[in-house]
Amino acid sequence: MSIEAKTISKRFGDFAALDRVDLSVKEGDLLALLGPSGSGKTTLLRIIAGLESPDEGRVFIDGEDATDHAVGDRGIGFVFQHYALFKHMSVLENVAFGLRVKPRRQRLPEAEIRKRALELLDFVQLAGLSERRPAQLSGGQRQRVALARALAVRPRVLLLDEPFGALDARVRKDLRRWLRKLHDELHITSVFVTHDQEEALELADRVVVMNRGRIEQVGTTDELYEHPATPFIFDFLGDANVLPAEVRGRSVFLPGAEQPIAIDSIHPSGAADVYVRPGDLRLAEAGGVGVDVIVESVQRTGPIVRVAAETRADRTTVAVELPHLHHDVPHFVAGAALRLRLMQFSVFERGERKPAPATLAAPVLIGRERERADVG
Amino acid sequence: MSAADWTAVFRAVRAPASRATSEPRAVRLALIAFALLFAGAFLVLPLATVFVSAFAKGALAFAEALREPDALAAVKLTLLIAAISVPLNALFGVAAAWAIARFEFRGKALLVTAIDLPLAVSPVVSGLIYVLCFGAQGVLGPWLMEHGVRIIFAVPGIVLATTFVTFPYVARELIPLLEEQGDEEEQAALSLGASGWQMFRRITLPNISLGLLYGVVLLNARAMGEFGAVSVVSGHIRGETNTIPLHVEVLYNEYQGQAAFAVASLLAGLAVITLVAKRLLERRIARASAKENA
Repeated sequence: MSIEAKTISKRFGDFAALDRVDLSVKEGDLLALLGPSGSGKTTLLRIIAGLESPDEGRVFIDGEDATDHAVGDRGIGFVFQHYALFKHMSVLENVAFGLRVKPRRQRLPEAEIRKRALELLDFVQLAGLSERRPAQLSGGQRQRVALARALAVRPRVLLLDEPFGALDARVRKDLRRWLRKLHDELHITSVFVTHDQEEALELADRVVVMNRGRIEQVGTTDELYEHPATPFIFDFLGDANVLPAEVRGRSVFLPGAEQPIAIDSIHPSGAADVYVRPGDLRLAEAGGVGVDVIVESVQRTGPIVRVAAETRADRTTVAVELPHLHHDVPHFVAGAALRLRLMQFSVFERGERKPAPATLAAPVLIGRERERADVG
Repeated sequence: MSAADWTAVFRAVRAPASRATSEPRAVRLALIAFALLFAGAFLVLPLATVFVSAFAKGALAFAEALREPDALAAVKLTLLIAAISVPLNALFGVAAAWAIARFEFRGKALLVTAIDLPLAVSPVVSGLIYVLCFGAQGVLGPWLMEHGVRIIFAVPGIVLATTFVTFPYVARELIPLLEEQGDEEEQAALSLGASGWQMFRRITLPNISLGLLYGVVLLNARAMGEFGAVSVVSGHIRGETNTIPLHVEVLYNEYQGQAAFAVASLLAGLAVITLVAKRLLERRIARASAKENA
């Protein structure tokens, strides 16, 4: 079922948790709400669920205005961050709870309730643990009980608050894959909240990036990574180097560069920041397009070589990550004078805070073919 | 003290966990001896005296003192008072604790403070409050008399005074418990379609049951043992408005020492049962929370 949230605002005292947010989730979508803590992502999820009421705005589920419906009447399944399992009940009773509290007329017979709860436990691969108490389960198992419990009432929409937040890294990865598979089987419209960009990008069909109570950008993994709309998103989705520059027409001038770099979209001329990821930088012997730098330190960590360098023109420190097979790596030692080449980057107007139109971000590829030849 | 506790004491005296962080042996021994002597002289000895004096003239005299009609009436009245004020205050305690732990509202701080009032004020004052409200010279007294309702020097007055004095026990026990547990489980129940009552009955109540029982045990002990407030409102009518504590006083004032102690031993017995129940509950609560955190 589709979800539509329209101009949702919510304040907690002086703090604006959500500021006129619009969100729409298509039927069968698996959508991530991604953002740092305090960005309003959990509040938005709880408002959709009906666990919180918005100060302003309406929530539509399957086209029907659900803003004034109680949480139990919205046909949602909610998975809490800390699972919120009923600790005095067995796993089976936890899963059966939603079926048992139905009004007598709609309630299934006891045998049917048991059967369905056991089926769900089988489905989440916890078949043998039905009589255990939540305290006797591992974190990953608890999470799956919480999921089975939410699915038992056959919700139209599944909402998950930081579903993997409390788990250790290995379990988290396994469970992530498992949840993706589950979604592909059930096709139930799902929204989950996370602060982990890797999790959001790997699991979701579409990612909504939130910051300070507003939505910064909505897109697929590729769209967000290749065309970040704002410096915030560029920064949030990975490490970023920021180089001060100047834009004139379709050219970007970096301090110390002999020639400008051509870009494929038009920016307002003036001061700008070039955002570039450490992995999108290459170092070469002097010559060619780029900026002169002096190597400060070189650190080898497994397959990646991290180089810290300083630009000659304005002494900006730049982090570079190179594959260790890069043939020139042995020559990169502290003090070496090299040329920094930008393989892919984004340009933002200086001091920009508001979400920018997508055309402002203009990643360009320069010499990718040649780079591959170098690496090989 | 159980055998295990004693063993623990001796072991602690003999082998401190770490020499660097523990007091010299002499200091430890002196402190422990002082604590035990003090507890013995001021707690154990008087309690033992109650039972010894109660049986001073033999078991027959003990039984006689309890079978006496006025004593029986006092026991019945005490049970009746407890049977009314304990459920009343348990109900109020749960409601107040829930309201305070779960909702934000104007006057919440005032309510929290008001709950503690009976602990802060002398029981005599608690009794006087009701005399001043409902007594013959009180605010509502004349009106009540006109309509033939007796509150002061009657059972309703005793119930009111007892309920007032025992007001805080359950609420004070449950507020921190509810706050610590948070409302996620309750929200989960609601999201699964439970009604408010189903949520309370199936989720909240089982989670607070031990704490509630703990509060009720203390509440009951106080309700049955209350003297000051009840003394003011009861009027000391033998066989009618005397509770067990009041009856003990009457007997004692009439120089019936053995009978007074025999009746008093009922209260002392209640105290022992209360302490055992309290200890068992504390152990179960500790175990339950250890299991949760495992």
